[in-house]
Amino acid sequence: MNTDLHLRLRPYLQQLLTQNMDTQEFSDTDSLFLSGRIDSFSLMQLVMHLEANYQIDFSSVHFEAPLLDTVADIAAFIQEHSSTSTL
Amino acid sequence: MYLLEQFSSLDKNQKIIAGLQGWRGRALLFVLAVLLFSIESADIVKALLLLGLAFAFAYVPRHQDLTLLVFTQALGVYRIASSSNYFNSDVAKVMAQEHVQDVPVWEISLFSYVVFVLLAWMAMVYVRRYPQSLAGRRPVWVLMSLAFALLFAACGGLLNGMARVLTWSFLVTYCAYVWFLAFALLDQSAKGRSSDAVQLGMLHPFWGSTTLPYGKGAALLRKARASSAQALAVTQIKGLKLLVWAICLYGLDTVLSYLFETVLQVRSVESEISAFLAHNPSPRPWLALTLVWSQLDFALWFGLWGHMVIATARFAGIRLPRSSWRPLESRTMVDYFNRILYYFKELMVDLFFTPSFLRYFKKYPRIRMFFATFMAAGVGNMVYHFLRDIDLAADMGLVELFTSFSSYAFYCVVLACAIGISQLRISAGHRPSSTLPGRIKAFVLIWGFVSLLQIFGDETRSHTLAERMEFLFYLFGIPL
Repeated sequence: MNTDLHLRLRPYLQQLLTQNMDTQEFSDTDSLFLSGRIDSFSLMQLVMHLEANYQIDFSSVHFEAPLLDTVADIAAFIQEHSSTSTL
Repeated sequence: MYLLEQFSSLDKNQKIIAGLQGWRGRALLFVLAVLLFSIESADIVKALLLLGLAFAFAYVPRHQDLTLLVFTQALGVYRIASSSNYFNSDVAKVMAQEHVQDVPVWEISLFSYVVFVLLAWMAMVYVRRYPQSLAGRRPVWVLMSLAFALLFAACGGLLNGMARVLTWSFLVTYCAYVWFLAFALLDQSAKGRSSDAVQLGMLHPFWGSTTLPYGKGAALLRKARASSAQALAVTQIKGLKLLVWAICLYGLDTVLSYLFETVLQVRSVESEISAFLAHNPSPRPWLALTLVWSQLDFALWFGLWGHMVIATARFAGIRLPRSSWRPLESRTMVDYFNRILYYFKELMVDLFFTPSFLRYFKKYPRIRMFFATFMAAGVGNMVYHFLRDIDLAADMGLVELFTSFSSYAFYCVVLACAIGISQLRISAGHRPSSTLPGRIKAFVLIWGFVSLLQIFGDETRSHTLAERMEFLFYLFGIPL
């Protein structure tokens, strides 16, 4: 588990949740997408964030929303697909 | 108030959760569910059948993949054999046109269905083996192209007699299942993809759907199955709560229908447009009331129907999100689209928005977002409704089928632009006000806008775009 990565992701996810009027706490394993806390459009904002900050080319990887359901899922996805070496 | 609080926290009550893990609690839940379900459907046999399958699925966890396949396919065949779906009447129309009378309708429908299921399975195997093929890379576009090719073959004057009947029958079946198949093909490249039994079991799963997949595909199912007896009990309680809410909506819709349609004599939007075109228009405030009621009725029915389906899935132990969630609280157009028809929005997002978003205009974030939104709420919406109503081709013929769709196409374009602009505003940092006046303003603007769009979104196809536009101008007192 990359806790450093989890910590880096959390402020952005908090921002997305706030955008959806959701100010509740969330753990690293809480469902964010499948539970409906993050909608599909916000998910695309998350995709843009990951493209810009972790150099992931989503057009060349298999992508489906449940892969980015929790903080832990997102971190695992980054570790698998990011081309940056500073994770 | 106390009762309401107790009811809403049922799924957190440990005594009830424990009780539902024993046979007495389960039997009581089943009886309650059947009784509630029967209130809306007025058909206790249907309730017993559907909920019987759901509870059996939940309580016999061994070989659940196979059970899903058997239940779904058995129900699919049963619907055709008992003529309780619309395939048979659609096929009968073309049989009459082609003077084919020596074969029962249900045999042709059943033949098409079996062929479709076999071809669907073969398509999954093909996409898995050849992920770089066109069908592997662009499954949605291949499926859409095939639908239109079948349409032209069945209604373009190329075929006659039994050949046309069989092609038409296959087309009707194909269009009813195409979105389920799209999810199945997309899942073939997923890590940990589900077995073919599950994929075929998700082709209109036994808990119910329309042409719209409620519960999406196998990818969501993998995450949504209750994994323990306790999780199953909680999921089923949530199903019961949703079913109770659905019955409340049913009651509300019945009362409001009586009030608007019987007491106030509010007519349908189509009737009002017809009256306007016959130079006998109703007063403008009355027309506004007609539009508001039309939109409200639409929201209530989709909420009710969706909740019944999702409640059944939850009784089966599938933790599916609700199909609509507090749509009156929508704060933006994007929010509205997300809240009112969740699974329709998900279909549009997964099959149209996401592929467009991930491939096009990657260097231009605003254009990228708007284009992808337009592909979903505009193009996807259009294609979905065109294929959903493909049966009209039998009566209308190809030319009228396309020309009569212009009004709904216009509706899709306007809706897509509104959602796209809303999306861009959010991306640019705009936040809707959370004050009471701000909420009221958002409610009036959003619901006023979608009510007005009912003029074009009505799907009867009985008036042209120009006639509907005239009606709109009249409504606002703008002389033409």
